Amino acid sequence: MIFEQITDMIGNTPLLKIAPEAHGLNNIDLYAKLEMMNPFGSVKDRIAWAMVQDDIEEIKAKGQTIYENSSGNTAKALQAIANIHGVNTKLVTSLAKVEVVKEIVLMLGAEIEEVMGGSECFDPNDPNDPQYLIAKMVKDDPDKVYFPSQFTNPKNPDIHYRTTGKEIVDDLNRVDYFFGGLGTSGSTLGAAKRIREEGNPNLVTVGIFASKNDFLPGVRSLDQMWESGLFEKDNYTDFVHVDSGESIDAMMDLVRKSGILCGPTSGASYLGTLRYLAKIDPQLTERKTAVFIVCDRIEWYVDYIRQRRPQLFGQKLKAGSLRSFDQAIVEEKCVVPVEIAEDWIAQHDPIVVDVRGNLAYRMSTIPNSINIPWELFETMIDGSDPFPKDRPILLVCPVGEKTARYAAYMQTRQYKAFSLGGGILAWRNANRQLTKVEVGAVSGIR
Amino acid sequence: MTLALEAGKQSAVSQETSRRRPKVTPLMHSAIGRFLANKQLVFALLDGLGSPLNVVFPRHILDTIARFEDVYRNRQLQGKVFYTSKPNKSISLKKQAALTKVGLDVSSEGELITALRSGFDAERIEATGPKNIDYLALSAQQGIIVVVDNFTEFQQLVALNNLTGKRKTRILVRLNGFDSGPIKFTATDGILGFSVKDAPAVIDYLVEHKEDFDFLGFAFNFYAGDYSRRPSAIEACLQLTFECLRRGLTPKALNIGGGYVVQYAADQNEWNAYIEELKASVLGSRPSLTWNDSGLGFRREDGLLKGAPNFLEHYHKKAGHEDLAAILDNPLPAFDGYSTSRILSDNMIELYVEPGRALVDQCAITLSHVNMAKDSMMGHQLVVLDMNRSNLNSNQLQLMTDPVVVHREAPTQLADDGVMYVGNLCLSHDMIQYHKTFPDFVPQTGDAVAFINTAAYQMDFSETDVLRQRIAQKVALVESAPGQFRWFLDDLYNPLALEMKIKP
Repeated sequence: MIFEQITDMIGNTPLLKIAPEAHGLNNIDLYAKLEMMNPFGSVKDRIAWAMVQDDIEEIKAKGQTIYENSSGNTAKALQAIANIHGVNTKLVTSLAKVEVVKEIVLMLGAEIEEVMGGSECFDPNDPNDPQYLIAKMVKDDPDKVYFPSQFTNPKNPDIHYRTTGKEIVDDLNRVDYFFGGLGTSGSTLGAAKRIREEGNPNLVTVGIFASKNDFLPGVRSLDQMWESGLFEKDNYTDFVHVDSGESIDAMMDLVRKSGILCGPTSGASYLGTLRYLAKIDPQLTERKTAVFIVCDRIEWYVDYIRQRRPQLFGQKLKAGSLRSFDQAIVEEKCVVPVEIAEDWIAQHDPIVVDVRGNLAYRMSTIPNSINIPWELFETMIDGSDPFPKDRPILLVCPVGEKTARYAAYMQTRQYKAFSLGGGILAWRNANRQLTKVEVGAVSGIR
Repeated sequence: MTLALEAGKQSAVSQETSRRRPKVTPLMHSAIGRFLANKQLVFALLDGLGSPLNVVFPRHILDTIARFEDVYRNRQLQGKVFYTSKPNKSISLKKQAALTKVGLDVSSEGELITALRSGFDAERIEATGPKNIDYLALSAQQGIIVVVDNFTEFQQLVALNNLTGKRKTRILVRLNGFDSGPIKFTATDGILGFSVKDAPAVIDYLVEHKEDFDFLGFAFNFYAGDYSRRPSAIEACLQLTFECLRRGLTPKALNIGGGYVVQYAADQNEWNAYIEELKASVLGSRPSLTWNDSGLGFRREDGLLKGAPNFLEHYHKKAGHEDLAAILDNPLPAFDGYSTSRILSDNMIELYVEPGRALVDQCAITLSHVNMAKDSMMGHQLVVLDMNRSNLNSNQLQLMTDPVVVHREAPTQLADDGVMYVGNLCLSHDMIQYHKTFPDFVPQTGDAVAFINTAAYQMDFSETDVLRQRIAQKVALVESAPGQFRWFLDDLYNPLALEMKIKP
């Protein structure tokens, strides 16, 4: 399949039938509309291109900058498109919450401006609303600013009417239930309209909301929807609220049972879909068809997922390893008190290992010590035998807690390991000698 | 999954009601609940000491202090939590806090005098804020930590020490106006502190005046919820700290200020529902929830909702010490992704924090008599309290939780359409709350109404004797056994005497 331009690859996404064993519904065929297969990775590719397509040459000719209220998928797609056409973008947004998406957008070359604001703002008269700010910038300098305005632009639902909805109807003819997360509400608005007109006038459209304090990328809470100019409450038969943690569980279900490597918002749509349909399914006397939207991909949500479901990343602890060591620490056996530490060092000539970060080590450490930051140290000691067993080792950390445990553990492996009591803090407070490893500029310091 | 859905359907009727009459139940310490259940005591205090009455629970601050100190302990962090004096004027809270290891952050000469009177020794007090010469002189003479705000203060301190022959003044230097790196912020101007652009000049000055000052480190302060400016501010301050070390100065601390959020509402769904209904009411799709449809900062423009709320977010998943923990565990890009706590602990830099709101969380409530119930001109149910808005609101920020009503007699009049609380001033705008709340019954003459969690910037922050109305008394309450309370006038509370079993 040969394409001339990457924007030609937007749309015509596959519709994947979810196996009944995976979703557990008996009377409903469930399809996932894989918007993650768009070239920049999300459903927003469609609206980004639709909003600027007709004007992009003029934007370039006039030397305008594209401003948009997004730091997520819309921002990513807009920036990718703008790059191809040699146009600059500036993204104005309330606090972005998915760091990785923001970082990708920055990598692509966008300028991001975050506005403080929202409900924690102390000045009630502060018009700190991205939409308002961009509108003001357009007013101040209409020649230089181009504002697609995804939250109000009718081209947003329209492209879903012309493409997303049409594709679904062409593939399935009849659809009974349609589910999508609500952000700008453009996709559910436009696609549902097309399905109602050509597939089924009695289509049941269900909007998926996030609970307000519980952030789902690209999805808003019901009260935030009032701020979207496109939102039409009457377009929906019903709404389902979901929580971000359980959305990730549902996402993992799609990942593991159906091989769809989608993001948490798709999990939210799947969860809302199953919640809604599970109630209806047993009462059905004829087969029905349901579609939900898989809006983007899993990759940029790793940190987001880790915060909410850390157990997904938990590796099994190896028996006998430092990480699984939980024996009581006998101070007398493994700690060298700071009062006698200098004499002890002179007498035993230990390898002194400072396990603090490298920056701290370079700023100030115990003479003749070497530096193995504790993350590295733990990996080394669990994976190998990195020290001689016949020479004493003195371990140093900030306050002596971490290294007391290390020493106790290493002694079980026949190392002559000891911890400096009270750590480097006690050493400094006892006015013992400290040295600077490196004088002058230290990396990490600007 | 299915179960949750069925439960949802079954409660559809009650949900409909809760949408029509949305509630925001306050999060409440169990001891406060036990006190309010003790009608006899509530009315004895309110009738005997007058309305309004601020009821302080000094021992509750021990819980919040312990939780903040745990954050330090779990991260091997050294340093100090500073109790911030300014959110209220209670002496009992300060006396209680003085018996722990916390420091005290004062911001005026009067607060400094109160701090010394409450048992804080100069060693653990820091003076912040704009300073007149009296405040600055007393601070220098007492040998407390001065958070220097500008070059004038530097010069005045040098002059003061030359005159008094005092030892070196311990100082922190407050910075502001941090660059945010690749992420741009809409410019917000600031009043307090040196611009970070002047930091090189400040460092030169400190090197020049090594003999005058014991320079402890840099300080900054942000409002609650200002999460995205903090990391770059921490990075900048750390980089300047290392620069100072290279220049031969000996900073040993970083003060990251306060701004840790407080959870006022008990239930996330209730809070969300209230705000949804508030916004819906501004858009006209339900009866108004605000006085004269003022919208609490929201407005309708071209059919869309605009504006920002003039109240704080009342529900947080992570509040207080957990908010601090999250800030400390956040990785810093300029330091190879190491967290703030790791850099501080590794480099033996002490952490100072100044939790204002969060440290007095659940430490006080405000009680008022009900003068009468009446209707407004447009037929809204008003409840006129024997207090005014100077007894509750400050910073124009509204307390959004429902007050707890304590009825003197069994109530009869249903409050179906909600009530609005108004004050005792002969002014047409003396609203205690600008929004409607929905108690079961309309409070009547002589009933008591309790606003919960008012210790921070609410109960006495902007109190005045406007129109010669009463200023609230403060009473300190100690629970000796569950439900058993002893009370003291706030300034007569003496935790040491109690501990020593000396009868007052």
